[in-house]
Amino acid sequence: STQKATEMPKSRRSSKDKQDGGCVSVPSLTVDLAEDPVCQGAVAWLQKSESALLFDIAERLLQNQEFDMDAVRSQMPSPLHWVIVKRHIDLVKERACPSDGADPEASSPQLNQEPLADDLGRMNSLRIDAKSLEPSKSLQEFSLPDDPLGHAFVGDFSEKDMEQLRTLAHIELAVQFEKAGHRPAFRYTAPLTPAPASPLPPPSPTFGWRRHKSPSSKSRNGGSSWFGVSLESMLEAERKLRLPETQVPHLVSSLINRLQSCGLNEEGIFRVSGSVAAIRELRSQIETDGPNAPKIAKADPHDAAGLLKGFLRDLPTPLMSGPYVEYYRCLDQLPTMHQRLIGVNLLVMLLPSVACHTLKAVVDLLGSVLDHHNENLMSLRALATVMTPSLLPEELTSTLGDSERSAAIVELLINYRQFAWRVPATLVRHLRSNKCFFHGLDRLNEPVEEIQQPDPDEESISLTLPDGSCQNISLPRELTAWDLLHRRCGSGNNPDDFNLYEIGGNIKERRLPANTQLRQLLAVNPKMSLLIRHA
Amino acid sequence: MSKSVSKSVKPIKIVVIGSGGVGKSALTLQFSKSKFFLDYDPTIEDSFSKSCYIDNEMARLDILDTAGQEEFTSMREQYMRLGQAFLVVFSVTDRKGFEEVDSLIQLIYRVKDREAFPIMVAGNKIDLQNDRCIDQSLAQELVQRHQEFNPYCAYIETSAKTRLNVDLVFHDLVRLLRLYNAKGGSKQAKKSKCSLL
Repeated sequence: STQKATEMPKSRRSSKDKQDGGCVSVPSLTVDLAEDPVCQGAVAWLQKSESALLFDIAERLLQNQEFDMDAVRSQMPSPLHWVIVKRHIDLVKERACPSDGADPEASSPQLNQEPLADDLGRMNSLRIDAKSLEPSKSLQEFSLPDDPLGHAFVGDFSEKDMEQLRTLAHIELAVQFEKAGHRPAFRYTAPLTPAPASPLPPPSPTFGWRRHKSPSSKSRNGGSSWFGVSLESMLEAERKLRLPETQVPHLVSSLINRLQSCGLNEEGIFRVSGSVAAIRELRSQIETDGPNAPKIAKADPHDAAGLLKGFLRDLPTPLMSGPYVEYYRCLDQLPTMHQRLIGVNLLVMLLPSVACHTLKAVVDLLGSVLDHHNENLMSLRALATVMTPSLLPEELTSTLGDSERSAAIVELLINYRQFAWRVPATLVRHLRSNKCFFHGLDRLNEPVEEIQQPDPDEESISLTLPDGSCQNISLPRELTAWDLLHRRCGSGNNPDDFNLYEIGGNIKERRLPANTQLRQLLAVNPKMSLLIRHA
Repeated sequence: MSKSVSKSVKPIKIVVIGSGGVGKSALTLQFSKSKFFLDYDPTIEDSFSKSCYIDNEMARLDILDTAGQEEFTSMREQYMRLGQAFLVVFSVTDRKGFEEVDSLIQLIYRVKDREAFPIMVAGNKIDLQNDRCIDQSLAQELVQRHQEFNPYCAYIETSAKTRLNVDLVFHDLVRLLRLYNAKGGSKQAKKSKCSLL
């Protein structure tokens, strides 16, 4: 504690020094936050009244230099709120003294670093323990502790929930980089998707996607429905063909199926090239017969791998790109493996749904290839190196150094594939507690989440069954999602055909993993009800 | 001593190309480091240099080892422009890699804007006799077709594992380059210089 005591005044003094030296005459607080990605995301997340309040706090902090920053920070209902306040102060200071010192860029992140680092301790949601660090491997082994509320994954949430989670992920990502002293440029472009028709209280930010290739690539593909077109329009074309609806285009899944069944033991799979002629023939076959062309199921594995890689490279936007290209480029600037992994996790969350699911399907396949590395001789590094140009944009793979840096990201993604599509528990918590977050200065002292201790008696909850009927059921202690599914769908049905969802509160819909403790879930989301639906 | 000699010699830029996994790096490493590396890591780009006497004449070889996968093509044209002699490798156990040899040679002609250029074709992995699917005659036929208009093209079978013909394939490539420079190549170069003037 003595260390803390000496440190704290120091940090406060340093921020004061800056103000003294930089002639702070606090200007009006009309900072254009629309240009700042962190605030943009944060403001979109909060309700108007809340953000106005936060800026009000920021203003007070700016005008009263004796204000105890640490005290205010500790009173913030969530780290997210503090981030917004801090960002706001920094922005105002930057505007006030842009020519402060020789290198304002270098000094301002440092100012941010300290308080934000504290907050991250709380916000660090992937509570991962570094189990062992093998000297032979550069990658650490991580494991996830059990979560009674169930680990959440990207595919478990409704699109509406994902939109909100992406906003949070965006803030968290910016914070992670800020902490390391980096502010990668966010490539904001005009959104491709129109805003939702009925904007709900927290308007979802629509991040547009920068087209990676010139529109001419569209004309180059000669009107193909399957190559050189976006994943979204492929799904559209499949709908027209009345193929069953999926999250991943059929062409991708049928190629993956082929490789899963016959490519895993093939030496040098994805490294050895396929036959150019055979791939061309497969392509023309797909153009005429659609994405489930029977030829795919008989294709040579190297041809199938070559076609899959070619398909990915032909996408108008590579799977891992979009407005966050600069974040991918700077990922290795994050100092620890843990942080880089969090970065990858957040970047995956920020992908549009179809790209996110397609990337997962591809990476899962690469994981299976890796599991057979004794047969196919493909090591993690080998696999990542040959796949990188097909997953990341050319601007991140066109030189040797960039290629290696990008391959390191793909390596992380393949190696930690069971973490990368996870939605960090803190983000889920933020999503759940959105509305009860913040009600004004007088209530700042109240804890954000009043975690209710489960009553000793049984609690009841409303459950909607697949046939639409609704009933109140009791939730005994220790009842898991698996238990409930087996009790309700056990007779005559296979419980594995059904999913249990958490709905209500601020969660539109979240699929629950089998080991979720329902009582504990109810404690953090008292407004929730349950829903059983066919998988 | 040999180092000081080699410094005065202008280096020869050799580029090793060929389909993925055929043994380009294994050949290059066996030649430059006299070792057969068992690890199976794909190359993005790597370079080595080695000095040796070939026909009593000192040669300094700058060897560029490249990626076999077509997705790395964004770097391909650039190094092709710099290369003075090419080693095109395929594996006698891999039909698809062999099918690519012809188009790679065509690409060299195109990038170099020449009809003839020093090119050595190496049929690698001949220690794997049981898996062999490309006959010597098949490869020879291909090279003969090119020799009709490109006299600086030749075929050698190699094994990076047993070190069979590894030195020979590089040395012969240097010989082809010397021949090319002494005859057609230098004339061609002069021609283009004149037209520039």
